[in-house]
Amino acid sequence: MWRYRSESVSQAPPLLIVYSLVSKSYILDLVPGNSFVEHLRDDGFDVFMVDWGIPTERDSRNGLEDYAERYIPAAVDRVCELTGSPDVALVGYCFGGLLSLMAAAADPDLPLASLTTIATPVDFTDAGVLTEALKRGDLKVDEVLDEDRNIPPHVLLQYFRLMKPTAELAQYAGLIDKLWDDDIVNAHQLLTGWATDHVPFPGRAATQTVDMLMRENALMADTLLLSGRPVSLSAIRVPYLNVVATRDHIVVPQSARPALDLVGSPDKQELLLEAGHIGLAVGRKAHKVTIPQISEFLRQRSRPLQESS
Amino acid sequence: MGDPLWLRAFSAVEGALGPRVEEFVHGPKFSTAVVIVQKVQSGVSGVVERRTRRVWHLVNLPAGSDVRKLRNQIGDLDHEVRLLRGTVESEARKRSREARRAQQGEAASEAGKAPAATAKSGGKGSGSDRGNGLANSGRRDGAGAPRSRAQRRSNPQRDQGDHGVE
Repeated sequence: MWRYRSESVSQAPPLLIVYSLVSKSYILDLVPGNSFVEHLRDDGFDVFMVDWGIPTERDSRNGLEDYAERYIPAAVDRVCELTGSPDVALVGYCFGGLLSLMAAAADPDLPLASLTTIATPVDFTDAGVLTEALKRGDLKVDEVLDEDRNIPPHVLLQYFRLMKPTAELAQYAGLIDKLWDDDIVNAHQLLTGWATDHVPFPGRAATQTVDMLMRENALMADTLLLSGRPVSLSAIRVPYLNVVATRDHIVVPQSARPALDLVGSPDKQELLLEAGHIGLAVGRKAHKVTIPQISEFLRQRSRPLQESS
Repeated sequence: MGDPLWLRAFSAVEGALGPRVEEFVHGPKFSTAVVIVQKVQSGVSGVVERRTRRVWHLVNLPAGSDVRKLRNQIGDLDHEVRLLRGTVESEARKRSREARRAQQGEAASEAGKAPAATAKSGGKGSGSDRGNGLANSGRRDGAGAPRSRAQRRSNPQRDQGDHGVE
């Protein structure tokens, strides 16, 4: 877990960002001036981020319940302990949002002030490439595991590339025309570097994702089991914000939007933005539109630090 | 100034072909092809693995798959230990959470009586224990969350101490 040092924390509760399992978290803190974390920190929040590191054979047995019922609650409690705050605002990005939803649903006593999910899939009816083969069981997760029993990064990379097969080519074509612009070239290099810098997906969590979330569509069918216990998103009662990107081809809007109906909070809202998957957190538009709106949601549900205990 | 001619031509071709390629990739034929390739690949690597293992065992040496098996067993054991530790920690967490709540409840009820108490004590202690935890700022924390050594390497701005992350 990372803590982003700030001399100007003015808002409580602290924010805990839960990052995805399949890529590296530095995308949320890319460069000064283009950083999701920096923006929130400058808005007065005390920002923490759970980074899952690079899974090895030690992590291959990690299941969804390990993340939702053990690691995230442990991180929440640690943030409370470090800051003295009674609660935490949980922000989940992509698959991290899914884990955050599960964590909040599995333990309604988790001290959360609010929950925000960004580009988080819940409906796996059409999860993109190879969905049918995975659903039918023609393609088994076991068959693509590496020697550490995790899904290797190159398989994930190919999977994401196939979702929009010509996108990379189009990006390069667009870049040729702007080669004279150092800022654009640098930004392209940073983003491309991150987009091809995946980490292994722990095998057991991947198997559960395919079996429960894709095959059963357990979140939509309300049949999710964690540690053998039924977990329903309707158990979530904290204020909830669901951030959805309309041009997201990795987590398509129809996969992310149902979360709003599934979550049981009386105070819940959706933020539908015209952006892509990464564009929600990185880039000019993210800094002008997305992050200020997320920050505003959090600010409305926070308190000035002096008044917090 | 608009896009150059070549880029407009490329965009037109990409715009026309892109959706078709996508449709094919998302379709059943492509899935079937991937499944076949995957099965052939794992079949071939299985055969190679079995044969090479036999060769190494002939000269009484462990094969890569033996080492892998051992690593995986250690990984499983490590997971079991973490699971046990997690169970113990989660009980402790629940207890401390309840204690914190009780403490807050007490503090809230004390606050109800505060004016009288403050008048007597001269306001001593008010807000003195309202730490915002900044003394701990910048620590990398255990919290049961996994390692992040790689991130330290991959994000140079952290090394510059820009955000004060260790």
